[in-house]
Amino acid sequence: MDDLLKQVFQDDLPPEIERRMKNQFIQFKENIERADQESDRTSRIIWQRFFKPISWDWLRWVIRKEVMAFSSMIMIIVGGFLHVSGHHNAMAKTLSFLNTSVSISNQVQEAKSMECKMQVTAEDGLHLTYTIRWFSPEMTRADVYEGEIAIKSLWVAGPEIVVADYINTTYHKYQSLEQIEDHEFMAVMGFLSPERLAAAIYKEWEPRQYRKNDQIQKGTYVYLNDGGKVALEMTVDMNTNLPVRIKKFAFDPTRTADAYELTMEAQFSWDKLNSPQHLIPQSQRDNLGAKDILKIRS
Amino acid sequence: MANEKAVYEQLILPVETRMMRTIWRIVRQDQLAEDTLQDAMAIIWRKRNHIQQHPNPSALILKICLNCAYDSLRKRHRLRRQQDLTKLTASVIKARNNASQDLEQKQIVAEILNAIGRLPRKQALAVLMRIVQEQSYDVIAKSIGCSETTARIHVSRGRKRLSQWLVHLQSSSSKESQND
Repeated sequence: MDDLLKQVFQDDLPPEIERRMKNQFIQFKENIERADQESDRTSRIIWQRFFKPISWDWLRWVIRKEVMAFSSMIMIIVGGFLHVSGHHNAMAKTLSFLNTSVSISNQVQEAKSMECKMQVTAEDGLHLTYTIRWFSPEMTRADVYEGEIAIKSLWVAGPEIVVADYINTTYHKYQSLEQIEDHEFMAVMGFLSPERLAAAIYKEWEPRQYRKNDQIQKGTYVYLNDGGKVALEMTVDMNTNLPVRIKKFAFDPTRTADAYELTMEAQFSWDKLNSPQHLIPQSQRDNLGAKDILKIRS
Repeated sequence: MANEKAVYEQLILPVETRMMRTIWRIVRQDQLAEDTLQDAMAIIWRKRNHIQQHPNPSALILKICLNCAYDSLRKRHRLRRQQDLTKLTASVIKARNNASQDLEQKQIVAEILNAIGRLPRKQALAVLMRIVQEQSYDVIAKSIGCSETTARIHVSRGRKRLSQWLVHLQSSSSKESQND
């Protein structure tokens, strides 16, 4: 056995490969030297900029009593002016909106279940209706309707994603939502899980105005686009801090300059217990056939 | 910070040639050998402080090279297995039609490399250090981080397993040597 191994693992490094490997050593050595030089240079710059005695001269000037007294006076005057003029409201409002966004986002993230009816105006003027149900943070079903007829369904159950097309009687399995090619679901991608909707509310939507309706215990946050136009309105239940309605507006280029049309309206019902019959039965999940899945059509 | 260069000259420079040859002897594929050397150097550099304190830095460096070569062998084995599953029929027919001596030799080498890749890591390293690098059990023990007795057991068990797996090659090679 030893002879066989010695024969196979014989010391026969070809010169061409030896040359290439030697070059690797040379490059490695050069990288080390370069890193050394850069490190030295950086240390020198840091020392020169911050630790040389001359750099601290400005600090000696700043901590002089006269300068500090003058700065304090200026700050008091500016603070008083902001207080009287009402400019402090802008800052307070921003903080309040930020706080609200975080709060709504957290509530959405923690929601156990949800049912959302959504109407979307497609680019060709047709209306599509969606019913989206969250059964748990990782289990969702979305149905698309054209008029009264269900045309497609999407199931998300953990890592399994299935799209059934009732018109063409086909079904497809996907590994992630990003792989889905059915354009009908593109519009509602952000609504397919608590995590996604919470992320949109917190990261992408920045409220600019707030309208409160004490009578119905609801408040509406208004989000503007870059052009200062209303892009989205979210009405929130003031008791639960969960959205009850979201409206989205879009600019219609075929009409006058300020024509913003309602393109999406979603109504939410929270923590409504969804029947398990809407999900694909566990027993069928592994061996889904087109016929099986079409039977599940609601 | 200029001591980084000194560290390189102290640790790697004296064993550059042995590093290249050790990796090549195991991997035996140009691109894979270059990648393995790069991986090994990255590990050696990351662990340079530890290596400096080791009683036998050169042996530890060569052990890291062997370790990386062993990983490359296993990687190569996995890739080969995936390809085989998809093109199983075609490759078998082609191999049978061109059964030249050269091809047979290549198959033997591939079979031995696969067998080494199948051994547990410590056994594979011990066998390679003992048989390929002809290191003493003391050095093997220090490099692997075990006692000399354990190093002997690793070599012995590794040899035994290889003999079992490659018994058909041993008989054919002994026949060849008898014919010669």
